Amino acid sequence: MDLEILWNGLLMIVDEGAFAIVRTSMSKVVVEGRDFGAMLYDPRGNLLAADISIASKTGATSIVVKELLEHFPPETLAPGDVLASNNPWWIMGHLNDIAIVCPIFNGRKLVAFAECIAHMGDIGGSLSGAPREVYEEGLIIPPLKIGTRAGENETFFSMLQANVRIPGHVAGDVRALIAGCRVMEERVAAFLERHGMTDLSRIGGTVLERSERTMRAAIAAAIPNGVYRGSTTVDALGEVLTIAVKATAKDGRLEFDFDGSSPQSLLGINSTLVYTGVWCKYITKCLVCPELPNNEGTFAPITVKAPVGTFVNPTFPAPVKMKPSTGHYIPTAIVNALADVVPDRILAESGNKFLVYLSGRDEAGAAFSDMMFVMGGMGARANKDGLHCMSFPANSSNLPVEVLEASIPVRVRHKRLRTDSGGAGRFRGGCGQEFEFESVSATPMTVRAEHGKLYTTPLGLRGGKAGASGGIAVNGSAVADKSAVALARGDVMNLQTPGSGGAYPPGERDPAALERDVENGIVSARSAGADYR
Amino acid sequence: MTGRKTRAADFALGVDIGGTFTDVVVLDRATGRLAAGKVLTDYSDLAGAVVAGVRQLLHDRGIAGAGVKNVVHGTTLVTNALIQRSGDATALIVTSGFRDVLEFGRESRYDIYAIDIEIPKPLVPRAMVFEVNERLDSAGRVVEAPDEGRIREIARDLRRRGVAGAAVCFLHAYRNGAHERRVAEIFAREAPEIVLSLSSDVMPDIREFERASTTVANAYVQPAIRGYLDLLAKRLRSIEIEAPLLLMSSDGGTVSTQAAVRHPIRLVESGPAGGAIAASHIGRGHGLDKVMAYDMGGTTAKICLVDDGRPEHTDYFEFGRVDRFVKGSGLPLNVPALDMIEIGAGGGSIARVDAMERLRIGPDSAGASPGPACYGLGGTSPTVTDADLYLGYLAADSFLGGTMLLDYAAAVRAIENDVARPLGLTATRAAWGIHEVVNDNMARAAKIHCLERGKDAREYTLVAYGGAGPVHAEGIARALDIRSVVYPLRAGVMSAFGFLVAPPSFELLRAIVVPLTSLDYAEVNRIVRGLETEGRALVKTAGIATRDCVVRREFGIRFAGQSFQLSVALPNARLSAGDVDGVRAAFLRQYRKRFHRLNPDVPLEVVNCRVIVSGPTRPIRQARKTVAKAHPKKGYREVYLPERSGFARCPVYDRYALTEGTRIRGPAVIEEVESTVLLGTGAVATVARNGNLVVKR
Repeated sequence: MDLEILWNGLLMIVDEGAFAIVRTSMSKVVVEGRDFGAMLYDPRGNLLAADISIASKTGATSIVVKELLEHFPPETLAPGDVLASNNPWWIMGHLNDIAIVCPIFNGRKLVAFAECIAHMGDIGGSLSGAPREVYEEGLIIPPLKIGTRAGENETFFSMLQANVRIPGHVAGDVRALIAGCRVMEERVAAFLERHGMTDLSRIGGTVLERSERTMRAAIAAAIPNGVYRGSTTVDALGEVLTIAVKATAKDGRLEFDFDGSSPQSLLGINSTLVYTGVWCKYITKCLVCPELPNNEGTFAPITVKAPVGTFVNPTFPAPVKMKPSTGHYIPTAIVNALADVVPDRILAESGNKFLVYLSGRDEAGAAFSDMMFVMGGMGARANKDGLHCMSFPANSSNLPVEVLEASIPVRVRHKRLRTDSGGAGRFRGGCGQEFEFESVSATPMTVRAEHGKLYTTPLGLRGGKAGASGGIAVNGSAVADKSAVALARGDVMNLQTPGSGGAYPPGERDPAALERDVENGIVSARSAGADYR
Repeated sequence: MTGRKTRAADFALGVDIGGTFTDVVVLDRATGRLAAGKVLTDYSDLAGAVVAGVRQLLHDRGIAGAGVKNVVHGTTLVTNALIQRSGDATALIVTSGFRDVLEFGRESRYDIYAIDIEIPKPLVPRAMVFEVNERLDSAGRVVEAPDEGRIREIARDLRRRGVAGAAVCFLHAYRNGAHERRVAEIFAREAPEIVLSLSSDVMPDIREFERASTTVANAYVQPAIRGYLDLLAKRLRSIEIEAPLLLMSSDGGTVSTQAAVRHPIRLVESGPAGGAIAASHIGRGHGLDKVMAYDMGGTTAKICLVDDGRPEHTDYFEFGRVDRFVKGSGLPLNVPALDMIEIGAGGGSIARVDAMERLRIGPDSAGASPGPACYGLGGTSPTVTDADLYLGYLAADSFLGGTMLLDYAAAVRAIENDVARPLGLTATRAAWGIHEVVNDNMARAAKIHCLERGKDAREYTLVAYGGAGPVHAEGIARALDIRSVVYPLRAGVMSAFGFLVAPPSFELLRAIVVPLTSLDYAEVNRIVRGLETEGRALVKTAGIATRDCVVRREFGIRFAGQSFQLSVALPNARLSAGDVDGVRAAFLRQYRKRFHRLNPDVPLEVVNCRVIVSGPTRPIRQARKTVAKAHPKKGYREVYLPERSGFARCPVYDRYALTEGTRIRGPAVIEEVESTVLLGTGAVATVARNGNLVVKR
């Protein structure tokens, strides 16, 4: 009975930690983009609660607390200690994500850990898209104690600030994470006092046990015992890599084995096993029980393995900076594997999005540098059409044209849906878009677009057709993705984001829906005749 | 009213159309006396129900229609038209190349785990969006003049299609509305019957999707609201009410019929705004500088923070949410509105046990029909009201003043079947669980609302109203560590009362986006002056002379690169270089208060100018509450007390029989017609002169 209230109390602790980060952070990525997370763990490093109302990090599966415990056993920790790391193999897959971990004591008893992570605006390293080792990608922070009750470790902060391009912001953000942990420490004490507890073991045990039981039941109900295989492709600068997955369901447990996936890449698109796991857990939750809270119990029935040396489990010191370019396709491979057993929850392959980086100097000579997302289509679902220009699985927002033009010297010529880019099917894939802009800058600007499918198409499911692949062109000539181009005044860049796959045979589409699509220009009359027979 | 016959009658009417009831209050300005009435809302004839309710109340009180000197009205008509998609066929005219502005939205999902997510459909289908060659740059300079031949063609086409209204939203029109006005001029000649809404007029703020969405919504409801207001004025004249009709706007001010017809979208949250305005008025009367207005009805609870008598404002609102309580699942409206959170917690909220054996309450509600199990109208799910009845907070024979008998046995059955048994608990424990969890949900939402705004909930006084508010305020105050609660008299008609204390006002905004240090003062002053002139003209239509207007001028300011801003009041009407330091300091003060930090090296940027023109607030005399002769203590009943984990015999008071200065120590229950105040153990209630209960816990 009191469980709901106590559980809400734990969530309130992480919410307050998250607000403390927003209040004290310096950077746009954290304050506006909400690219951070606040989490509470038990003394063994099991996740009890993760903030989902304020922060956008869904990676509630970092193993950094457990790893740090290896280096700093409980008996070496004292109240006020602050631990840190940014190991991509433990946290969110690249050096930009720094984790701060603080032990929480009640008297002399270790009762919990607070962990706060955030994406730093910069972490040093090369700006080119071509590092061949993680060493080139920025500052590596080993497991460190960067503060005690007596204060912060000045040596660490000096090293950090000397190695990044925006030292004030990065140091400020690290301090914001510490502030987030401190607030959680205070709130845990208040929580224990209010409810007359000495530690969190009982409530924590109940939360994990209930969540795990529910997740197992949900998996068992949705996925019959068996072995299911699927795959998808990832564009890697002219090369096509394969993510292969074998999903084994057994009595409410799910194992994902990525044996057969391509070897690790020379490009920084490698996804560390922890980051691969983030997306395995995300899509499992989507498929079987979306409303479950993010904690260790919920994810306990899921195991993830991949041969060492594949691009979904690369070995140190592989480059990993562009890990979303692989990670974001892992859910697709899993859905493809399970499409026939969870036919009512599927979605066809999505077009993801382009990340577009623009930098240069404005008329007054001041430097500008910004990034925007241009979304592709989201695939057709089990019983409805896909969505136009909606990024899946990672979520983000577009940059309004008016805001873009007010901050960067470009003029957008058009931004429109790409007719016929959604794959045909009983349920049509969502369309991608055509986004065309012209430089009005006095001096050349540098533009780089990456992440979308250019050489492969987002495939349909269960008889649905593929959506259109993407394209990038400057003044009418095709350009490769992930490569920087210079735009002089008057040069025009054209981005065509991929559409997405359809579901079920196009011949089964409701004629009224097809007619509406033609009327609204989503499907051309030609395609209606040719692709929907 | 003997002995007062010689003075000229001066009555004010407040009329609030709500989902179930239409509330009418009449105020005698001379004495401060207030009377209230209720009739059922009639969706097929909204104006008819209004007139019926007004006529009845005036008749009961012996007031002649001619004695009514002003009428303030709030209506759900706009909201309903948007939610039910019952507005007129509307077209959208945009800059060439941007036909899909509504389809794109912000390209973002409000629920990341829902594969089957639904996104709200635009009010205008893609086929009804028309492109015109024209272009402005981000400074509002003309890049390409509008293609007038094409505009004429569209006008004729829309006419042929029988379109009633059209929205025009050109890129960067927030900086320069000339191209949009050209469209209006051509339409006035080619298709005069089509009502146009221009984005540069409706809400000239940057961000094309939000502006287009707002402008389209305005065009969509305009024909309906115009027809309704014409009809209502006519009907009111038929009962001899010739007084000007004012409308309650979402930002807590009132506007003339003329302004409402031009900006109908501003009426979207009129009812709840009235409640919050009433709560701030009451807070002022009690000398409170921090008030948390808390309204709990049958389906939802609403909370609004009021600092120094001014409710918090926002420029962002959503309508037609796919998931009512999920931010981002609706279509945006950039309209000035009071900043309220809506929580899926009301008397009708349904309790159930989820897959994890957790007790969950709401957000789905049994509503008025079938309603809670105890209504005996066929509902079998246990609701918050059922639990409140079980716990003795409500009584079966005194609900709604005893006009509706509640079925206690049905409540017990529902609680046992759906909650107690699945969790292996006693019915008592289950009922208390429902009450406590719903309080906890509201308290948590309130706390997050405060945290987001950098406020501390503990510093506030709760002002509780709505049918269920007074029953749950005690629990919320406990969860939020709030020390004092005010329970106004007439908790059930607070919105209509709020209409009468709201001043006529109009808020106008224009985006500019320029560094604070490189302002062109001539231009800024021209913009501010223009907004002022427009605002004064609109407020004048509400009967306010220009000399009685108060003008508030603000800049929206942010650290460059951020995407949200704070409003900073400008020190004087004409800005000059000497004012910049003061404006900067005021911004930094506010920013530090909210975020507890500053960004020392980042320059400031002005995002918009805002002008709020208001008429005077007419103070309401506080009438001494008249008291019936009855004995205040009605008797005793068994009430659940959490500190004893069981029931105890508690006194029950008749609120209408309480006299000024009476002190009651909890535990106790104090009943009025529309609601019941639950007084916790140790809390002390004092009856104020105006009949409000002031509780210290």
